[in-house]
Amino acid sequence: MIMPGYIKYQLISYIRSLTFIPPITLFGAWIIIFYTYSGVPILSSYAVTCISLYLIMTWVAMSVFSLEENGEKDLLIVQLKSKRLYLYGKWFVCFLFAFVMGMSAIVYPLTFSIFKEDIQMLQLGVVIYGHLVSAIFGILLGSFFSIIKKDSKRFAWLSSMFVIAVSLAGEGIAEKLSIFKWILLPFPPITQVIIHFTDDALYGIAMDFWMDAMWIVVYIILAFILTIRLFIKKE
Amino acid sequence: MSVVLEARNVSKDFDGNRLFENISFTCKKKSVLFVQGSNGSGKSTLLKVLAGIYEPTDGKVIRNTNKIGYVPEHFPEGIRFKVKEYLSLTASFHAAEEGKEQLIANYVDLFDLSPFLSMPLEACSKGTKQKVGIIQALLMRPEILLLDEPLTGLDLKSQQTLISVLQEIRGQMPILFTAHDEGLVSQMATDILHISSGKMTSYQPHFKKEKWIRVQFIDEKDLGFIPPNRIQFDGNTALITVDQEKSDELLLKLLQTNCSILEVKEKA
Repeated sequence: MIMPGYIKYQLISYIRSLTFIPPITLFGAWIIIFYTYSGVPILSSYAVTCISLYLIMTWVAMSVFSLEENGEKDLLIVQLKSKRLYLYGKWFVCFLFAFVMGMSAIVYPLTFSIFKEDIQMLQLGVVIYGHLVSAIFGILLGSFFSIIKKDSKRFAWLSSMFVIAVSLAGEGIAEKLSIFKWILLPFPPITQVIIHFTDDALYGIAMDFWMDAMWIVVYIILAFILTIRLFIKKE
Repeated sequence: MSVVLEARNVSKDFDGNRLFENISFTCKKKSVLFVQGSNGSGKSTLLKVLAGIYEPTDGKVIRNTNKIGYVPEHFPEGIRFKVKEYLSLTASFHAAEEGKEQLIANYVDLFDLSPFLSMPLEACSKGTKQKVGIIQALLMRPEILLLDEPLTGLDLKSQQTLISVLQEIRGQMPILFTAHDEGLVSQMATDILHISSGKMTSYQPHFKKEKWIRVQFIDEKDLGFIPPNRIQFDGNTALITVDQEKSDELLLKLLQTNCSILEVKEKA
């Protein structure tokens, strides 16, 4: 069980580090600028905020995972009696920030009636799912590279930016060269989320949506297991 | 008495370099293990392996509890809390226990930390940070206490305080500490582990400290009560070897048998 005291410790430490300011400010400003004009399509707008959340959460996760020097981290692991709890607490803090940002991205255009039509319940469900999955991908990516490149922040940033770029361009690359379809399998399947954000007159979800959702769930579970194992082994 | 902590042929590599290998020992509740070795011998890393911070490359560490108190040699830099805030927060990591605040207050008084409670840890002196490091470990009410060079940075008064705290809690949990050489704290040791160049050179469980007493006697028969293997005669003087804990009793007896005490020193 994650101790509330540890969550508080991480939250205070993250806020006092001030490293939250650039990603949060950028995301907030981006949402306001993006929705300057009203009458915009619903799902394609939300697809853009999903990608923004993916990028920003990678940034947030990397900052949260670089909060402590090795000595402080060693002490926390002993105090918490578990490396897993240390990791879960970090992820919890990332999810709190993801929740606030994701909710803002979803609620802001609805509050100011920016879309050209009313949102359907099904669309809202897909939008929440899309933002949740994008945030999880960002958190996984940020934490994964912070862990495996813990001694070199520069390479952690370079590696995660490379993965983000490839995962976003993955669909296009695979269309041109089908061999890449398999090579791109380990990259976060973000395109399999946003591909369903289409502004059709009659929005519906078909079998391919559920197949993609299943693969995404399997991918997330495997990625979490791999990250936990790597963290335990790396320390 | 059951074993609380056991190391079985523990080895650790870093970046392909072997730091230490084949370290084996056992610690029971009443053990006070002194890990002795020079700089770079791997003492601090061994303590981190025992604390569960690092995994051993080879071998096995068996802990019969996960309540471990760990005091690092250098308290970490860059912690973004004030002294009181840090102690309260870290104490709250553990299952809700009554009297945590009282316990903090007691240790704060004991280590004279009251004037620094509102001070950010980053602004504290090395000694103050070291005291905070010791208190955070004790607040866990640990079942194993690991101290890495615990006297580093402490003034004489704080060293005495720490030793008296350790004296008080010894027997309730195994205490393991590292040091370069034998100092104040090493006098408490029941077991000694020597590490040299990454190898365990010796492990002396149930180690007993001994003293040499040189006496001048009138009649050799007066010293007949001392076992022959513990006494060496040289003219009208004798060199007696005695367990440290029995030395006071022996000294009294020697004085009563009209011997003159010439010298008392710890056996190297």
